[in-house]
Amino acid sequence: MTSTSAAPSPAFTFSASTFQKLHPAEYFRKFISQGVRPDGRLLTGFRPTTVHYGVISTANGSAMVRVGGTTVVCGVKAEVAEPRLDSPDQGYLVPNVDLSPICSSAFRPGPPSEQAQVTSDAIDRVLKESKVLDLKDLCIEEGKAVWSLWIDVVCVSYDGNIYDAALASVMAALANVRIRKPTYDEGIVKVSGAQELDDDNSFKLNLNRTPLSASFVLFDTSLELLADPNFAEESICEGQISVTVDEEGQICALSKVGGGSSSPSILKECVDRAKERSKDLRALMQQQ
Amino acid sequence: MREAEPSTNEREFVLAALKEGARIDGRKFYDFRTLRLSFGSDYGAVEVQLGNTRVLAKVSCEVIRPFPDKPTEGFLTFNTELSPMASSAFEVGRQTDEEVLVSRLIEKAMRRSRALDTEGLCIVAGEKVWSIRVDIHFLDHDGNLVDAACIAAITALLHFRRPDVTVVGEDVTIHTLEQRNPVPLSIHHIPICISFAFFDNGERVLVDPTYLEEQIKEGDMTLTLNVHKEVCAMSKAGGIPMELDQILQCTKIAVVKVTELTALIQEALEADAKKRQVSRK
Amino acid sequence: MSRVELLSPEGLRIDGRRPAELRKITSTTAVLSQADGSAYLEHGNTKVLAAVYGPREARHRALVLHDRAIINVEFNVAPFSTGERRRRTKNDKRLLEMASFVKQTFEPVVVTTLYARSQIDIYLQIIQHDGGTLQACINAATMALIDAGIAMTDYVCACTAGWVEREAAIDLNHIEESSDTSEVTVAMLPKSGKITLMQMESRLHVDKLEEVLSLAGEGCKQMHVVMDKTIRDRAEDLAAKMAV
Repeated sequence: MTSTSAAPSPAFTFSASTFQKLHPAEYFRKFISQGVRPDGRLLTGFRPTTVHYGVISTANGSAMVRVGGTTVVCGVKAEVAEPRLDSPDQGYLVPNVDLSPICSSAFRPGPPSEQAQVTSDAIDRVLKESKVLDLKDLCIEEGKAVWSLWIDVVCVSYDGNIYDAALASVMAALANVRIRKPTYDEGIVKVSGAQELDDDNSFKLNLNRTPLSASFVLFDTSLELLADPNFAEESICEGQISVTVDEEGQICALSKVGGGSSSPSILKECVDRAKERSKDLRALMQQQ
Repeated sequence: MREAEPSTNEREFVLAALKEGARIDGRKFYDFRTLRLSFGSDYGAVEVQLGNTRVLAKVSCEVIRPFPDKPTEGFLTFNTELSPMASSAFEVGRQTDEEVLVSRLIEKAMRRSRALDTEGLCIVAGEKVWSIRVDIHFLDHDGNLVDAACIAAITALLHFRRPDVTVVGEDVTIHTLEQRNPVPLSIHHIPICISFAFFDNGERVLVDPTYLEEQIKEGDMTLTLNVHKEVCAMSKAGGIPMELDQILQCTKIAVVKVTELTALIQEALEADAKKRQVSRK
Repeated sequence: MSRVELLSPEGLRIDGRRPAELRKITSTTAVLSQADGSAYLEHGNTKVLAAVYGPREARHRALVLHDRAIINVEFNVAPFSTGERRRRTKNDKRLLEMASFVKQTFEPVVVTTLYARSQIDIYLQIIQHDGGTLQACINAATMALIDAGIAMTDYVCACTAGWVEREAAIDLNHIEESSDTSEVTVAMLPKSGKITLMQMESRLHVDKLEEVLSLAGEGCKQMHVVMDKTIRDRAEDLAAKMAV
């Protein structure tokens, strides 16, 4: 329904979806110029998000987060391990993000892709640097046995913005974790098996902070900022900005990758929006 | 490398012959090819010849530490590698589908069914146990690798003798073959695999298919039984769907075949034992 | 492991079921936005997700068949799915074997001659494992293939059965599976009643075989009813929405 030829000779007309395939950037521009995006959101709108706790009963803690079409499931398993030599009274966290072919035809089977590794690494840094958890809480017996938490995020459906969804699911799963209280007896750690978990025989993790993130992409040489990109938007935009903020509005992590140079005002706008988003997201997670 | 498919002529010929109740090599539907077992000079080395299919099995043992959560159990591992020597369809290094299925079937038949008593492999609980390793080499592929491999593996295990061990308190002495006669392994039962191939919409059932019959078959099934009429493993994956009655019919056939084959194996082992006794005298 | 009583004197199993009773089954189709067809299936505590992509261009030109489609199956076991966290490598023989079984089960059922020179990918994600994984995967894959609109000659319904202490029982859970009971997984085509997949790994006497197999067949028929209802409900739903 759009003609691309200005000449009086027969104009080409084709349907919107064909136009999207032929000139994706142009298609987008037509929407952006009106202040909306193809899926109906405003430029600064985030997709509807849902959080469910305790979806995996075999894991110590689990959560499923849906951000629009991106669905991730995070499971946390606690295992007894020997502590690292330089920190004998601290446990450790091992996050891992898995992007397998099931979630999108864009991924091929095989070793973890670059995107998966980058996301895993980013989450690992946030957990470490923001001191989300006091690792001393995970100590069972100094120098001998500590809890190691294996945090596995499995992406089930991918529609852009894996980092936000993965981080939110990790935080939700950590809040959901219950670990049985162990007894340490001469080199053997015993964990009671059968009874139901309650406050006497198990403990929940004490989270110092809950950092949550908001990601943005830059469209058309850094002129327009789009919040929470979906897969189509990610493929045509250059430049991505992610801001991770905790409860007190303090920035835990900030990253800007690609795209041309952006003015400080764009970055400030991202930070402000991230603060609002993390407030909304926290309220949503509290409700469950 | 993809194996050459049989020509349409060959295919039609085999299927037409089956309709008249004949197989290409003249066997009846439920006949096995001639089974020949030859033993090496070492204990635990067996070569099986099933028609043109040849499989070699070799058993070796060593003493290692057991798993901490299973301190009295020894180890039994099977190593199957389909080398290009057997058929041009196999490649070194890359695992084909068929290889995975053959090795898993052998593991299921031998290990899961507890043919070998792993508790009897314990020397000192928590510290020393025997680890038995069975290497299966496929020398020539003319159909029905699974059955031949299974017979080779179980015969090798029956034939094998491990060094005798004396434990005095903390002291463990492993005797060499000169000092003391080696001891056989304790085998609970003898599982034998019988493979079937289905043709003509499930109407014709063949036992022990050759390579040509395997390429033309519509479906297949492998049953593993022992002489005590216990089914140790069953595997039918895809291929033409079968009625329950047809499957039960196959189990009856398998029971008969297993008795025959077990008798053959026992005979061969006894003949070999006699030969060794004579040569020792 | 202490001796757990698998069958109480009244004939109830460890989770309170009767021997011929299936676990609670929940199933939904079209759960994933990116896949052409998808299904989520819960057999009690075993949770499996299946996604179907295809028919689409084959990845390796060398494998393309000129007259049929090739079916490719991949398994992914989430590390938190089992009791102890175990990182299963992609080349684990057990997983490769299960993938091979699923592939061989669907090859005769899917009308591959309609989609020459293309590839149909079935991805199975095991989210939680409590016994009966192969049966759940086959059932989920069937629903996902139907959801993707790929032509098949019949449903493929799978069910496990085994001999628990004194009786034959269906749909064994993890505790029953791991405690040395014989277990057979059977996949059946409900229209003809014929068996397309049969796997057993443990010892069972020939005389008990018939009872166990026919009970498994009954279980498959029950599965078919559940799966059919889900598919039909969804189809009616879609038809209602399109009629507007």
